[in-house]
Amino acid sequence: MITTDRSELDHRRAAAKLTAWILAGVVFGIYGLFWMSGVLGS
Amino acid sequence: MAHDASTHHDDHDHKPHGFVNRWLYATNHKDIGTMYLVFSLVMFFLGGLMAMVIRGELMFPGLQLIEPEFFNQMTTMHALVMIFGAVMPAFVGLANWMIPMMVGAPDMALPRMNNWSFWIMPFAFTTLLLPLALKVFFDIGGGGPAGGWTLYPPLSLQGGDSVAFTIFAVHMMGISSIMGAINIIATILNMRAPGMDLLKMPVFVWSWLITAFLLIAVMPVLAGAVTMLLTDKFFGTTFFSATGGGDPVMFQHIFWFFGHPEVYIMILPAFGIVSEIIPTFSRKPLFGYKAMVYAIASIAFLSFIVWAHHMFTVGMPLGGELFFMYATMLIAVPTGIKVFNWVFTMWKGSMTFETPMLFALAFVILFSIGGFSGLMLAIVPADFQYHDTYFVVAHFHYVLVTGAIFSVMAAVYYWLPKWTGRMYNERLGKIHFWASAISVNVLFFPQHFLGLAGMPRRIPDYNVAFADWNLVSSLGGFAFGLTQLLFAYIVWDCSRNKSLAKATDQVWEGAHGLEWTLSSPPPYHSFTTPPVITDSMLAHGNVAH
Ligand code: HEM
Ligand SMILES: [Cu+2]
Repeated sequence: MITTDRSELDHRRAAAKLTAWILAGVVFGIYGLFWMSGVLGS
Repeated sequence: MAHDASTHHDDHDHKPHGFVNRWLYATNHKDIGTMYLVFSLVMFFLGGLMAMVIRGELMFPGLQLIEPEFFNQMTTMHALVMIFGAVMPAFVGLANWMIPMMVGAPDMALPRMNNWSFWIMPFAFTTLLLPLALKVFFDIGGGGPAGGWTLYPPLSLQGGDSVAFTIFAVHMMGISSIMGAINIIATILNMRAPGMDLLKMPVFVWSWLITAFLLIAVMPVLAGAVTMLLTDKFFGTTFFSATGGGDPVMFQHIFWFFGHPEVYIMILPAFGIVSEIIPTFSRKPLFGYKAMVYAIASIAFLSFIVWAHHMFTVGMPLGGELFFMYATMLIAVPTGIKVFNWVFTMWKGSMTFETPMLFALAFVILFSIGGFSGLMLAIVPADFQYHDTYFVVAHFHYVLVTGAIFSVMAAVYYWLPKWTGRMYNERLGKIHFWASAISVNVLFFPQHFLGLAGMPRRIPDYNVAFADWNLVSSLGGFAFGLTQLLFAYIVWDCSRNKSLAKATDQVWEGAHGLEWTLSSPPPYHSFTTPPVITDSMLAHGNVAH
């Protein structure tokens, strides 16, 4: 289970970056949605 | 950093040299955690100073010290500074320090974004505080925002230029929180050491994972709401103005769709902290680990469908009032599960009462009082009486001060020896605890009576009938405020005073979890190679089967 090989860590870092970008997309989606709700609601 | 260089001497510090390199360009999760915590403490005292002004004014009926307009600025700024400047950054600071060490990761997933998350905060708060500071120190402009932290239009839009400052500051805080939340989720989902399965993580880590999802879901909603405020004030839109076909009540819906999850953002990490501390000082594993995790998740889910309990009196259809009343009451179920599990964890444990445990126990008892008053507020016909009175003020100060802030203090006492490598002064810690626990109740408990008797919130003057309990409350307030200076001293002493006893790696006899396998203080870069995780190293044993 132990690994002194740092490429495993680099793998995890790359996966983390993907997670971050997906979440950033979600954030902009929600922001847009609520703006839209304001436009439609008023 | 070159790859091979770091594998050669893992345990040596590679602290960057010079102030600018170390702090301004910080990417180390421990340094950034420290900066968040220091920032939070500064804001805690700044917000506290405003609270002292408020309690000074309210000490006696009649106007005493300040103008009503300035009083309104104090209540508004006190809330904004405490919520966004003190409580939230404190939890983010704890997350930065502890999550990588708890899951066996070398750092946060995105260290440079982490730097940005932190350094936005001082700018956000400079922007927020500038109008008030200009007025107080140079008598320039009209002062800070005065329409309440909830920013309800049309009132909030009647402020001067401070409206624009506030909205810009809220945007910056939001961006900081969102980046922080993304970093935390990415760290927990992707950076755990092999063997640290999700259901083996400490409850503190779980609580932050769920909190971070709440942040991602609602901070953009707040951003949307305040952007609409901005265009309403400066660009002629009428989202929230009936004159142009808009609706001010719609602001309240959008705001509380953010606002209620926000209050849980300020309490879920507290649940996590208390779930770490109580097992340690009871010398027993946490009772019902999985139930604790599921309870946090249920509370988070429910927090999205209760928002209109803040708006019972604006006039909603009966079906709406009933829905939000029952949905709100449902939260008592998972919350009750947590309280009972903490109590069962202590049951027949060999308990000791060091300062972190004292704060954690006070949390359980006093947060429950806040939960009970919350249930009273959730009853629609009762809330028609209680709404906008001091009863609400008493409620949210029990959940936020004796809840969130007590948990932060518990956490600081719990992990300070790990951070500094020295034991803090336990005798002073106990004095700080007892003085805080007593004065905070003198401060806030009478506010229940005032509210039930009909004293409205957010007013600088009141009927003489309310005089006695206001005096008591103010005296409690000054005592509580003064007591916190002792806290600052204890923390400063522990980080500077070399004559204090050295902390062991485990620090507390009953402590379990990866962070306690590291030295005290931990190396500047910890877990650069993933640890081999055995069940005995887990915070709560092997709970996965
Ligand atoms: C235990 C379950 C809880 C219930 C049933 C509950 C219920 C309520 C209700 C019905 C109100 C609106 C009262 C009114 O304005 O008339 C309220 C206000 C408030 N609650 Fe809670 N609450 C709970 C827990 C919490 C927690 C955990 C926090 C924060 C850590 C919190 C923070 C607040 C705040 C800040 C307000 C006042 C907001 C404002 O108008 O400025 N509550 N609560
Ligand atoms: Cu609420």
